[in-house]
Amino acid sequence: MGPTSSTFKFLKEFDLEENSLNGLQIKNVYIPEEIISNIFTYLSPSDILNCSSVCKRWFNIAKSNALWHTIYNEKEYPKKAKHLPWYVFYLYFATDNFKNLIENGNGQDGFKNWTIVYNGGDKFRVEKIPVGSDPLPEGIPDFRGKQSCFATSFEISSKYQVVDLKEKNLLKYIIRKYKPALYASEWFAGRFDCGCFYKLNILCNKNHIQPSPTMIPDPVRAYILAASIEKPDPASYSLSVEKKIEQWAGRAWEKVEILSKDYPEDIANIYFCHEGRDTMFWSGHYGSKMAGGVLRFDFDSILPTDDDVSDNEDDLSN
Amino acid sequence: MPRIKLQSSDNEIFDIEVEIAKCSVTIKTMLEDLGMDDEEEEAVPLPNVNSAILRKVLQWATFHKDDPPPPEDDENKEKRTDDISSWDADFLKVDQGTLFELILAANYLDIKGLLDVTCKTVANMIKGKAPEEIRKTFNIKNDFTASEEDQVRKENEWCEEK
Repeated sequence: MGPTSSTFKFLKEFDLEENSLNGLQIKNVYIPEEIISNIFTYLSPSDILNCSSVCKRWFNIAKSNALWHTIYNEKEYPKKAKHLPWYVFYLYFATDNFKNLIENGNGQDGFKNWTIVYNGGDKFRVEKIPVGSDPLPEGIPDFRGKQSCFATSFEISSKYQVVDLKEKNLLKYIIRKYKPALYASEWFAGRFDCGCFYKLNILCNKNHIQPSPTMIPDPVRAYILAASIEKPDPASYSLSVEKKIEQWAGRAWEKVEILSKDYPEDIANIYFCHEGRDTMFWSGHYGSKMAGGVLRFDFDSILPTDDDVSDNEDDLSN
Repeated sequence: MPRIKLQSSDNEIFDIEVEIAKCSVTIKTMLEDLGMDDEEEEAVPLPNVNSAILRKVLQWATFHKDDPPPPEDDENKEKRTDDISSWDADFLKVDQGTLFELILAANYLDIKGLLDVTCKTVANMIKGKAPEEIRKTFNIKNDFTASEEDQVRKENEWCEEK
């Protein structure tokens, strides 16, 4: 086991002698630090990390807040980088954690990535284009260019996707230090001719669960998880939105959103659960439809901490 | 065509079109600030650029003199390095010393296009290489102690998302 996010410390920049030219003198040409830094802005985040292992001078440049602020300002123009340390921006550019963590949100790959908790009535199905309701709205990035959706039936159908933070050291570190808002959203619709229920539920469990095949619900597990969706386990954290569409009021797609900043900071797994059924108990797939699930940490909600500010003052005084 | 004389650090005089010289923001500003008129007899001194490099810079500037102005930053989100034109790629087939001197000259003369393409070329020499290969490429000493090197490696591993 390596260091955990609660014990980990980032290296400080190396002290270098004023006249030390290693890393700045290339083929007898003296290259100022700003130019090395400018060259690094053309590299991928992982290449920049690699450069930090070349020599002390390059380490100091590659892991300087200034370099990452420049990269951010260029890529996210005209947004201006906040005074956050380099690794926050590294995570932003190197991973998808601030983008959508949900895979296969439109059922484009069938039920891949999803675990079915309960498959009532005529079961979940994937519709290539929504049947009996409007097509998915155009130009919405949540759908990743797909037109398909999940549809539910006359009894509850419920499934979830779990995002495992276990291996994501840096993300967990940033969650502990900055508590970025957790954002979840999804689109749902009813059929034009039948009312329905829809529910989106975000569960965070405090304790670390070793994902294993036992999580694939045998009937007992399914029952326990289904129960925990109804009555959240006091040890876990749960947020949900529930919607009912009356008969003849359906067909349009609507977006539900959940935003949370008070989730437990030691979360290890985040469950994105949704369920639906119809109101009429009609055979077939007259229940709610869902598509375009999004779960991500909100980068813009990250604010500099007091020690980021004092670090920054140190930078200025040097 | 109005012309202008530039003087390199080793006192060579280059007599060129003003329009070409003005791709250097440094020279352009100098001309404006000094109120030099087009038929100036005196050479503009460039004490930071030697004649060999200045010749290369002017060759680049001559080829690119009709280029449209570089796109505004807001359209230029992703910095790419695979968009070097074949003329530039051929032009930059030089030894590393010359390449880095061109970077310095482009930086000093403030020629954005040339600075971009030379920095991209160096970035391409770094991409995908392991630290030891990078050191070899640029003749950089590994000045970490064994334990420092280990710490840096661990920190980088720790950051990589699995």
